[in-house]
Amino acid sequence: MNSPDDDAPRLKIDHQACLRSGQCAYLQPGLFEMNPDGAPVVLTPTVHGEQIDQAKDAIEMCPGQAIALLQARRG
Amino acid sequence: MVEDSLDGDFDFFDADFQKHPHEQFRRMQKECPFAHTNVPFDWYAVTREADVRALLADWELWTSNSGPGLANAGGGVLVSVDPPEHIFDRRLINKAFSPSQLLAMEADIVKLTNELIDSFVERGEGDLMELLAIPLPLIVIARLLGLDPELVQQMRPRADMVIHPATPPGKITPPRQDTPASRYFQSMLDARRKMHAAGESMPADVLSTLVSAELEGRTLTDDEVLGFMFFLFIAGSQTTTQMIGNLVYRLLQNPDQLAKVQADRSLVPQAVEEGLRYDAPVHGLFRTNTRDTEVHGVQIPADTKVLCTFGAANHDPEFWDSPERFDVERPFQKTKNHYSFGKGIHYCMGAPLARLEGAVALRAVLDRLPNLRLVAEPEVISAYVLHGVETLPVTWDAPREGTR
Repeated sequence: MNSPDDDAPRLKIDHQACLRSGQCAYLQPGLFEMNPDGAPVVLTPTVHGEQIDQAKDAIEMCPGQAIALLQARRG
Repeated sequence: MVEDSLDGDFDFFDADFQKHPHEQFRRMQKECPFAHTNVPFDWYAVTREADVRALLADWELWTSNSGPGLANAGGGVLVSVDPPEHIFDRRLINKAFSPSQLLAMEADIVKLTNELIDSFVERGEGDLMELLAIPLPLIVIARLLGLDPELVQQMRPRADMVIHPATPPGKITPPRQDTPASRYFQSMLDARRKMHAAGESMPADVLSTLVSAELEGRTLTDDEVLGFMFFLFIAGSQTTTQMIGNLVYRLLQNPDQLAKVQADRSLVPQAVEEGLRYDAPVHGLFRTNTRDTEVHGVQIPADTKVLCTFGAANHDPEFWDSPERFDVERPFQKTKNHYSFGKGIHYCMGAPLARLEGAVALRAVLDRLPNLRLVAEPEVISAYVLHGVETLPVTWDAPREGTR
């Protein structure tokens, strides 16, 4: 990736909204895992290339709508 | 082990067990955390929250490929299949049940709920299951799937159809029966396939999604489409009916809790969640171990059926404070950890829809059926893994002529 990490989109979980279904870690194990308490953890805070599509898949499939992809600030 | 004719720790099909499941679950948690029964053949149940959590997390050992019930009913869709097929199924269907899709449906569900209440509010009495808790989820799921709401109301599928141990172990469930429902589903599918082939624009429903879907370069077969349709129809109706009925029943049983929600409608989502925790509409679902293993010191061979008892995990005092207290103020952040939607890869896809229907139904009941009260104790369902009230005989203050 030629863009520095500061410019890459960031993955964020809203733990209040999270329903702990585990769907994110199941469908996109490269981006998320479940900790032993059953709460999801983001493995790659910034995402690049095909990870962006993977993140969008996780966002769409999350039953709590608890995942967001924050675009890097520009300018 | 208990002696006599019952060679096991419990009998799930016993009427007394079904009437007082939480007491039985508590006893099993304490005395036999890996409880055995031989009715109708050997199987086990885990009841502690930590065990239910562990089994649901390890889908490679504890597979769903043999179906979620006692019968071996593998080769199905969603609930009866593990990855990789399961991922395809889930992605395909999820769009119809996604929270953003549901947001668009909320106004429709509110309108439908009010129309149902309009149709009976002046009577001032009746069975709230028949009047509201049964028709509402049926009509909603029919619209989502692309079925005729009037027709499906006559079908009234029972959720335990999917998982009932009608077939002996080792036998695969017989092929689809020729019933009025199956003929109706087939005719809907045939008609939709014609529209698709002719390139006509199709309604935005699950049937269209299934007819247009491609799996590894081919379209889904009739059996696959109908498998999805039947499963979603059944899973989306009676479970939600039980959720609504059980919630209203607990509120009527606990007038102080009802008063709290009546006074503060922001408690509605918490009340729905506490209702789900307190009375899991489905006591539990089964997993099957893929290899020999040991649970709580008990050796079991591969292919043993084990019940993950959601209803017991929802009342485990190791996990919940005062689990037997029905408390609508229990914080949502805690209550949402209940097991009524399962957990892990098979987490209920309809959970956002169920929560929405529960909240809409409860608000409508609070707003439009004032002074609601029980006139008799409800009948309780006594049917395998289904849990809750079968009837809800109530009265309320009917609106006087001209005040509506």
